[in-house]
Amino acid sequence: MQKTQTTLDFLKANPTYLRICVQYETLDKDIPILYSYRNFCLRLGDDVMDYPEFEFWYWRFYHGETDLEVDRSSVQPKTTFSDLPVKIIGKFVDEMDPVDRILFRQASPQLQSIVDGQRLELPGFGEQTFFTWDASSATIRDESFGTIQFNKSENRFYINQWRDTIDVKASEYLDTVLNGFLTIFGAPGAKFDELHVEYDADSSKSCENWKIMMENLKKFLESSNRKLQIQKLVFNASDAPKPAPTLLLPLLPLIKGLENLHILSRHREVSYSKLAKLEEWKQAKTIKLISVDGLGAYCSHKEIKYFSHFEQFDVTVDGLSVGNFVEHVKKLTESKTFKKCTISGAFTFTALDYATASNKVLQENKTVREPIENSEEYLELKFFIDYSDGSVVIERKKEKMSVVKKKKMKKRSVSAAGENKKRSVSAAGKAPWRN
Amino acid sequence: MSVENAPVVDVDEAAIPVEKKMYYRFESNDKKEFRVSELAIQQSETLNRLVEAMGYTSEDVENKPAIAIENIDGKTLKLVFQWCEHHKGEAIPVDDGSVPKIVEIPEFDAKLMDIDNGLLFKLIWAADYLNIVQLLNVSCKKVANMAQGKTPAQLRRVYLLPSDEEDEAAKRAAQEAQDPRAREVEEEFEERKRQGGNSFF
Repeated sequence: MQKTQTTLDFLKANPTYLRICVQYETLDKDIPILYSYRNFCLRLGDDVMDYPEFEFWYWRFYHGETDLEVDRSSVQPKTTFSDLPVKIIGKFVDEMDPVDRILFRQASPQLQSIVDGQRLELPGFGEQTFFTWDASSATIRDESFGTIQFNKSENRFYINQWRDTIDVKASEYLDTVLNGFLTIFGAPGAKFDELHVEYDADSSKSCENWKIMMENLKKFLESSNRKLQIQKLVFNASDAPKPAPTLLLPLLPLIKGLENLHILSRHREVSYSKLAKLEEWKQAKTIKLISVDGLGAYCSHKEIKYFSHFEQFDVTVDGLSVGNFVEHVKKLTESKTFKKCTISGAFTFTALDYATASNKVLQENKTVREPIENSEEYLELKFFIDYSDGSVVIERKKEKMSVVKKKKMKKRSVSAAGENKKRSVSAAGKAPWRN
Repeated sequence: MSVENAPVVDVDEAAIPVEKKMYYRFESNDKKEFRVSELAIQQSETLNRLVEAMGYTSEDVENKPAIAIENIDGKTLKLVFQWCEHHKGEAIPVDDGSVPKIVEIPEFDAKLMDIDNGLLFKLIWAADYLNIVQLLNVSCKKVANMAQGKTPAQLRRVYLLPSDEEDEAAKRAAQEAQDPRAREVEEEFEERKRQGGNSFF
């Protein structure tokens, strides 16, 4: 059956009528043209007139022209956005908020490379930044621009910033998040004093997505010969289905300048052997393994060897015997970079047991000193062990000058006594009654 | 001043003629002539250098032909000079990247830029060509504001940008146009497929 044409269909097919509609939109000159265009499309449909044509008629009517039958082709061709030099489009990007940059970057592949070449300069940007990853959303939060959330909901994707929500209508949620991530974290020259990555997703799908995202991030950074510049990374994977080191493994090699690393986890028997092979791990100065709810983040005492190069580390270990502990402390006395650590966990020995095993004197406040060979420094071990749980704080310290002097004097007097003894022996050898 | 926190270069006040103002004559590529004050010209680094190099006297300005600006049409040049006259004598911001700049669009500039995108882009192009720093700042800010809150699809419509698919298709077409042999191979391959061939090689 042939469909009956409605009045609206008839009017939509009439170019003159459409131009009158455009003319109507110019009556209120305070409304921006883009709102007028949106209004026009809402009333008549998205497909009746493209934006350049709407704009052509709008500005004619806006400036008082009333002719509805002008031939557009007779008017001089317009300069389009694509005619502008890349340098100028880069200036547009400079003026944009981060959320607009994200959307702009996603609009076209041409724009991607332009956005990726522009620095993101905002007062306070990167001082403390959060990236939260969960099953249905991802959030970037920074004091300088607030919170940007990528939200997946019923096959639609949204970007929220404060009270504004933008329906992105992207084909792939992951692409949208990656685009947002790259716009903010991949900006040239971006420096992060403190980045918190909070991995809140608990599904295996989210782990797969994380892996894909890290692979894409790697490709992106490699193509521009760049790395993420992060001074302190707090990696919170306490709700993740996989251990934190597994999830951190693809991210860590993409970072440069890392000094402090905090890892929050709830998994037991976690291995750091793969992370320990990475150059970024070797170059970091401090590490803190934080046990969530006092339950997790335990690692085997055998893992301590992976931390001894850090200036400072805090770990919780399992199954530590006094014999193992003596060995670990010996390694720490040999480390040139080590300054301080806290080893927590369930201890099967006391401070006195340690002192006895290492042949040292247990001093006041359950403290033991371990000398460092050929040095005026020593390790001070302070035991805080009640019943079986507790911790030991080990700190590199310098002997007080008076002690050093005393020791030196003692050494000198010992050697002087030896000399005297020698002399007296030789003198004795030359005794007159011998001659 | 609409650019806050930005270092500025002071306009040379001593160079401003007090008694007799000099007006230079410029001609657009569509032969439209404009008279522009010496002080307004200082907003454009390119034109300022040009007139300094020419060393015209008041008589020269009147007797010699107007200075041709061949890349810019009359409609655009009119806007450029309107802007320069309105902002004459104002300090010129220096964008050395040392201080994050905050650009605000004054009311006059906002009205001046109430134009279609085509003309706005021409104005931006002219501001860049003539090196008018503050006009370039405000016009770029205007375009950035236009993008505010737009979805990628809306941005593609407003700026006539190709989508990923269109861009891919354009790239393929360009590659094929560059390499006729690739097209021949493609056609041969399609033909063999139609004929039921299993393998091309």
